[in-house]
Amino acid sequence: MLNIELTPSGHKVLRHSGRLLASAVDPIGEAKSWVDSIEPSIRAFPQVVILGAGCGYHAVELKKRNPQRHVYVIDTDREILEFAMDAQKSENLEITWCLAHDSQSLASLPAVQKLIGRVFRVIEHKPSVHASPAVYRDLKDFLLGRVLNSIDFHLQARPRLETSIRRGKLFTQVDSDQGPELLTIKHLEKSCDPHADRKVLFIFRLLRELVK
Amino acid sequence: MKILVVSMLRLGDVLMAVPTIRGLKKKNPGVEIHVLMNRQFQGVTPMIPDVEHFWYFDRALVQDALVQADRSIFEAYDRVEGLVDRLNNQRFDQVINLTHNRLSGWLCGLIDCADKQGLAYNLNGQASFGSTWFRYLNDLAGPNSRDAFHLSDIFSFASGIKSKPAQLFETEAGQSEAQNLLQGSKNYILVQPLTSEDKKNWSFRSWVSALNQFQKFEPNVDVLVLGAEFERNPVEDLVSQLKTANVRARPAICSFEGVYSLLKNAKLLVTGDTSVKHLASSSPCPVIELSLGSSDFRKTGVYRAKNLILQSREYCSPCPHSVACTRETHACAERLPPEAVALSMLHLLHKNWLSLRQVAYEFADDVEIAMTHSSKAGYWLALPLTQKFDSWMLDRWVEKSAWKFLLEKEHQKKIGEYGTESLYIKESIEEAFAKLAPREWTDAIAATEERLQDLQFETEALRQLLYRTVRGLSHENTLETFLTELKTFCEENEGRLNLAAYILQQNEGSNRAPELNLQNIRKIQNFVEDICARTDIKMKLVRSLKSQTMEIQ
Repeated sequence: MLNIELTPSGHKVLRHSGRLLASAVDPIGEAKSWVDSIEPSIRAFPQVVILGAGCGYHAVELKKRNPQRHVYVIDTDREILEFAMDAQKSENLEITWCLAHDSQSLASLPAVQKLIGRVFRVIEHKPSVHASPAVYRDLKDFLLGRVLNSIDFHLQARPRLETSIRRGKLFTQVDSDQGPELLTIKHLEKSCDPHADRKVLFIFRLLRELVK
Repeated sequence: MKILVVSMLRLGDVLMAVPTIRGLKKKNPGVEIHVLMNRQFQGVTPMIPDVEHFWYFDRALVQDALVQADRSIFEAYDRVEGLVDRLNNQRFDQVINLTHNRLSGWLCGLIDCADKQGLAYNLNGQASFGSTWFRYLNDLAGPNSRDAFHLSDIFSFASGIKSKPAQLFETEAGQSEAQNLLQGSKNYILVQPLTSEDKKNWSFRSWVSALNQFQKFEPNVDVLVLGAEFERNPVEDLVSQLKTANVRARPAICSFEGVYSLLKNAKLLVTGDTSVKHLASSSPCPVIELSLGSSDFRKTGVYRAKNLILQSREYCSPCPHSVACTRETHACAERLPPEAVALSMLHLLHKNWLSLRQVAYEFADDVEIAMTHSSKAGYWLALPLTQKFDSWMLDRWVEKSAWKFLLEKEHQKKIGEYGTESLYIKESIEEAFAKLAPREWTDAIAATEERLQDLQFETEALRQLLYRTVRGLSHENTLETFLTELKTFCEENEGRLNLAAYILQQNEGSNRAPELNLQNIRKIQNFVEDICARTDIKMKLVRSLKSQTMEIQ
């Protein structure tokens, strides 16, 4: 259930199932504070994925701060996404808006397929994520390659790794008695074929030096 | 030609690589030099000359990506792969790894280049060094190795160049920062009290005492206490204590560029083992280095002649890196008398060498005061001011040159340059010890020659013994007998410490003999061959020195 409200400054904000997705007083100021708070953690990332479109002001502010940075916004609700896209139309900024209900629909998006082989950071827009936390958690784990069903999707973008990781070994490692656990780089390293590409093996050995 | 220089440790290590970079450029002006370093030290790059391009390893980012669950599982891998691909696109003709750790070894293993100098691993985890100098750094230049070469020397010799203290660029930003901090003061000294490790720090109480005593002699000198922004609180705390003790102190929180500009006109720098010390090596500012904790000045001391290094005589000094101090108190720091530091500051400031020597004698029980020298033979060394010229002192110079000859394989040449090298030794010694009488030379040479003759005899016997041992390897007792004799040899012959250390390491604290395998035997065999070769080289150098001294007389 979506309602549109008008702030004293004339900005439109959304109320979703009774909860506001942006400040009803100063959504722009709130977006600026939000970007300030995440800026240190995304400084070294040329691509940033925001989970949750909210009212779009936060994504616009992020893009404005650094126009070189590619901003992706993923939302599970078409209406919310369209509202956010509409809110930034006048700004004419290049933001990639994505609609995804689950990991399968996420993987089918060409923009995400292009993104997945690059270095990116995933940031949650808390008011949006709050609406359906389980769905967003699944999307996030999928994007980060932390779940088994995401591995093939990620490996497709890394041909050298794709031929080096033994899927069977990876699956047996993660499927513990307590149920599947989140994947780590150690699982990947242990699943690596000892006769794999020299470069892949060397990188894993190098990384091992950094986790000591 | 394109060369990649890899320096992936701390800032001080990057600065120690600068003389090598400069030498490479001077040797071949057309060469394009790239440097790979940690991103963290990017701020210093505007000051480093002769580099066409800097590459950065995002160590902190990669490390965080490895442990944080909200980062992509592939991020660390992708970042490293991306860097390696970009480096390989450059098609370097040579890679020189000046970082001696496993991380850089794997990274250099990933770079496609036929000519790699310094540590690089192959797929089986086997290390290659590309140069006898880097192998020396790996095998022999361990902690407490008295005659180890300075790292800048090792880097330069390994790169086939003659090393000289680095020259850095002074930047406009640095100049303006320094001007603001100086507030018109022209008569000032710099103090860098904080280092990267607690055990390398001298206590604030000692700093206050030393600077208070110094200020009594030099009441018009301003004391600027250096520190980075993250050190602001402790620096301001020390300044406040200094002011209470009537020291004209004020904080100087600034960037490296600012520090370098301050160094340009400072009368003196007193510092622990820090990168500021290495910056000072490229400036005219006289330096006093307080070598505490794990600071091993023989390998990383201030790389310029006529500077002072003070090291306490505590038995555990220098201690191993990255291990907390095991003593109940910070004994090495406590044993360094503030008065010795204050007087050293005063006399170095006025270049009063005779008085400095007196201070060194006066405090000899607690502190070794060493002066740095730049030998004409191309290496750096620091010699205690209390040490007179005698056969043992001569031996130290000859030993260094012998190592140089061995590692450069000069002794294998048909005509080795023994004459030139011994002349360099002579000139360097005469520079370090003014007014040596001819008699002092002949006595020292005669005693050294006699000792070397004995050593030649012993090393030959050792070689024969090893030969017999290898032939009778099936009997374990044969090896044990050999090792016992080898240990005795090491204990009785100064300078054989590296071999002794190796044997002890193999024994792992027990009395067991090293494992009976070919690799161990081969390594011991190499050590023995090196000792024999070095003894022969030393003898030739001493005899050449003898003939030169006689000619002059």
